[in-house]
Amino acid sequence: MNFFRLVPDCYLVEGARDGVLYDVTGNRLFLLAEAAHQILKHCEDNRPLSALENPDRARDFLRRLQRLGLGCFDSAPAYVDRLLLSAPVKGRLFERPCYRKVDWSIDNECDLNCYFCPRAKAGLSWQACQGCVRRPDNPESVAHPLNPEQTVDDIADLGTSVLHLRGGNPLLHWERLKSIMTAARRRNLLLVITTPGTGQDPERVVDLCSNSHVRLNVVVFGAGESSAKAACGRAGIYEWQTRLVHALKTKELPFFVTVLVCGATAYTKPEILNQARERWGIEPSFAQIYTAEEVDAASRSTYVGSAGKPLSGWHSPPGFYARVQWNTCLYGTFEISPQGLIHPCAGLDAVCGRTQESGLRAALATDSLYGWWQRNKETVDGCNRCALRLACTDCAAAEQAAVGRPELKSSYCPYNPDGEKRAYEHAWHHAGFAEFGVLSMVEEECLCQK
Amino acid sequence: MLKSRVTLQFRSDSGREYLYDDATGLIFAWSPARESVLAESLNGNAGAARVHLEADYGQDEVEASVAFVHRALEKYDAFVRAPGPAEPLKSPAPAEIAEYISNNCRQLVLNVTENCNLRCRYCVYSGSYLYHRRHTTRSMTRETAIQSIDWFVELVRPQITRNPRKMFGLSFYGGEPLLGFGVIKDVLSYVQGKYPGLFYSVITTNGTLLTPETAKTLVDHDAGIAVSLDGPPTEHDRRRVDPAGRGSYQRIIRNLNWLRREYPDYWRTKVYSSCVFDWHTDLKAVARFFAENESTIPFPIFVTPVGAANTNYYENAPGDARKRCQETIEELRQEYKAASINGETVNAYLNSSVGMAIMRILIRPRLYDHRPSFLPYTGTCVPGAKVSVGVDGVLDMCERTNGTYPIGNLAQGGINHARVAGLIGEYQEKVISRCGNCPVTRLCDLCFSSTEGDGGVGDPAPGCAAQRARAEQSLADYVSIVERNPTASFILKSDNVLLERRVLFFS
Repeated sequence: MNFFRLVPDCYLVEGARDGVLYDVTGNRLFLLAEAAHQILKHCEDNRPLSALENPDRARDFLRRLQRLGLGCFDSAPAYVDRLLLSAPVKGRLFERPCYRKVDWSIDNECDLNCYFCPRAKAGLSWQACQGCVRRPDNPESVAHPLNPEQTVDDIADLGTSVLHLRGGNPLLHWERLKSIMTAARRRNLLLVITTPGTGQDPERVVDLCSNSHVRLNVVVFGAGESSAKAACGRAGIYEWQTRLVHALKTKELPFFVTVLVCGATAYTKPEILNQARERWGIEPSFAQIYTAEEVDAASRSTYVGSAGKPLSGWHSPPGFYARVQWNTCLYGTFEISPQGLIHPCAGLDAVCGRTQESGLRAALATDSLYGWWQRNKETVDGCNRCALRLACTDCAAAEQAAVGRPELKSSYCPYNPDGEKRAYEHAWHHAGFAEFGVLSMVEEECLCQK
Repeated sequence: MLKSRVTLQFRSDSGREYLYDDATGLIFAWSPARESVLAESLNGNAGAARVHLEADYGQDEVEASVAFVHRALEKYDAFVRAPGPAEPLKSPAPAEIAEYISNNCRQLVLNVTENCNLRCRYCVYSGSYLYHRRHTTRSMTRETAIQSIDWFVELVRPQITRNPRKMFGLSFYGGEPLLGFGVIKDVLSYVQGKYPGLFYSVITTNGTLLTPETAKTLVDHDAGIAVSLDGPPTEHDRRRVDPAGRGSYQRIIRNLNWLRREYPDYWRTKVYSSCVFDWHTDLKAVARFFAENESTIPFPIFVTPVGAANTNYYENAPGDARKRCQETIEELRQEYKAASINGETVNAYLNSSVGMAIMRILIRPRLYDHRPSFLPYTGTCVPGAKVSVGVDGVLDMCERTNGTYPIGNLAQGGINHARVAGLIGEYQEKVISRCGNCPVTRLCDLCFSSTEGDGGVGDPAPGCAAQRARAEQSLADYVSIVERNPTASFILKSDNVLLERRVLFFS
């Protein structure tokens, strides 16, 4: 048994210096120490173990990999047919886009006056689509198109199941919101409304959410009155939002809370999580925004307060292969701005179509949007040299590269694939994996964690 | 539930054993030990047989084989397929057929005329074929053509509604379609005005009637051209002749030359050759011809043999003609493999003849490429997934079928879904019922057209054996290439599909 090959669904993905083992069907990830990486590379090149300097030591290591189900010894060199779930061809002209979700900013008006809003003031933003930060293009309410029911029909015809309404604050346009809600219900669309929850009486909003097709995403600022006031310059907002959240809970209605972390947020992520759990009994999502002036604070990052840079498991093999092909954040979605412009997402300003000229369907018939869907980590300088590029779904790097500021990537990811410090020497947050660890030649140095 | 083992063992040129698994579409490196472990596992005897296996193969090899086989069984559900051969197939209801067609139909073929200005000796309309019509002077009217377009657009409306980018194939076929150029021109203008961007048009022509006017119309509408060109003059003119028996090569080349000069970009991206060979063809000379003239002769995108079924075309062929042809193909196959292994440029004609069979292993359907439940095996289209409209508005499932089992009529509202359901039932009974144990269903080319008889499905038996042999050969060829050259570049030249980069991602 002089050869060893990885099984068809395990991939050795290499970066500038590091190697990482991906177990696709097992949702497992293993960082490789240097010697382990070199041995696996040798094996994957179909070269015999006897050609290694210390084959017995290598066999011990590879035996452990065999026990982990990652590869098998073989008596001869072989071609290994890698697992693909579907044929690697696509129709040049007949490809069917799959729309997952449509973001629609129905207005650009807000009753708050947050210091970081609109987004033109931002130096960095992360997961802007989940927050309520306004587009910079027009501070006033435009409310295009004039016929929202037709737009809802066009969106439903695309086969999407989720329509996400943003603003500004969509609650300020109550009648428009209600007509959209009626049309969405008729077309069986789930309507998600992202709002700070202000501008309407909480009981009235709760009444709106009693429709089973509606989910509210309440954007809060930090974990208390002080940070809310610091963010939006008005007292009483946090209490107002708490009233709304309690009313939604009392009625047992499903809803989300997104914490918009900004420079004025005087809490760490664990503190915010704890407060949200204790006060509201919920697990919030996070979005971040920093003004250009705040960006200099190098400690700002998406995982502030957690154990390390977040990695993301894929949960199912199709999820893994989607990363190989697509930008997992942008794929299957787009945003309609208050002016009727089509953008790749709420955080990007590129214009991919103009609905006001020819309607939504005609605007989507061009190729402009779909190029964005393909901007995966392979297309981002730096990320494309990272062996963890398929374990990371952070949208920030691709966005910053898209707007010509790739240097800002370091604000979100401390790992430099070209640098001295190796991947396995960094801290990673890996809760999404069934198993995660470092594989070393020395068994005692292997750190595997469920 | 009864399950069948659906695997095919083969060897690469290096002598290494492999196992193709039709349940997953994967190719596994194989060995006697892995085979024994799998056999014992499928018999439910793995534990008890371990000692005996270790005595035969050694502890290390058995341990490795158990790890390998069990992972494939547990993670991929490999090696076996349910239902087994005893499971009855369900015939689809007409409503199910209607829904499938509306959501999956992708191409409209307009047979604008049944006439031709040539009388090619191997043409299916030459009278040498048992079930096909002969040439006639009938042509499609403008009204029928326009009605076909409007009907088709309504047929596929659900796809258009769902997908703003959706395009459909629109093919002009014949006879020689340029004999009905007026209708083609009207259709292209109509489509451009009423359905802009919805169709990708292509015309299959013998090239003799290309004129500045016809070419300009095709270029203006971005319609592709597939010109029938079999090779050098000696080869081409042997069979592609006019009614007086004169060869057509010079006329075609003259037309292609000015087309290339006038429209160089169009030439490069939209003009292809479609080639046919028979047992008498000097294939090496044809391959050389396309290689030596690649700047002036369109890329040979299709290379197909003259079939021997349901025809008397070969009845006067010398006894050893077929064998000699096969020997030449074998030599070209080895030439193709050697070039691929050595990373050399592969001759375009070889690529589209012997190379496409090997390429198809690379792009074979995999685990998630599901076929419709009522036609689960073989490579057949569902009747109606493409529609070929005859000159009189009669609808066939394909321009290649013999016309004796139409699926509808424009004058009667279009596709007859009950008729389609009946044909599918017939195909299930005569073809699919044989597939339960077949280890190459994902690699199988059989379809209605290749199994047809008079009025419907014929006897697929000869085709089955050939499919299996061809699959085994192609698997061995493909693996022999990538064993020696893991980064071998395969050329997938096609007007409607593209090789995705993810197949190369981990190589």
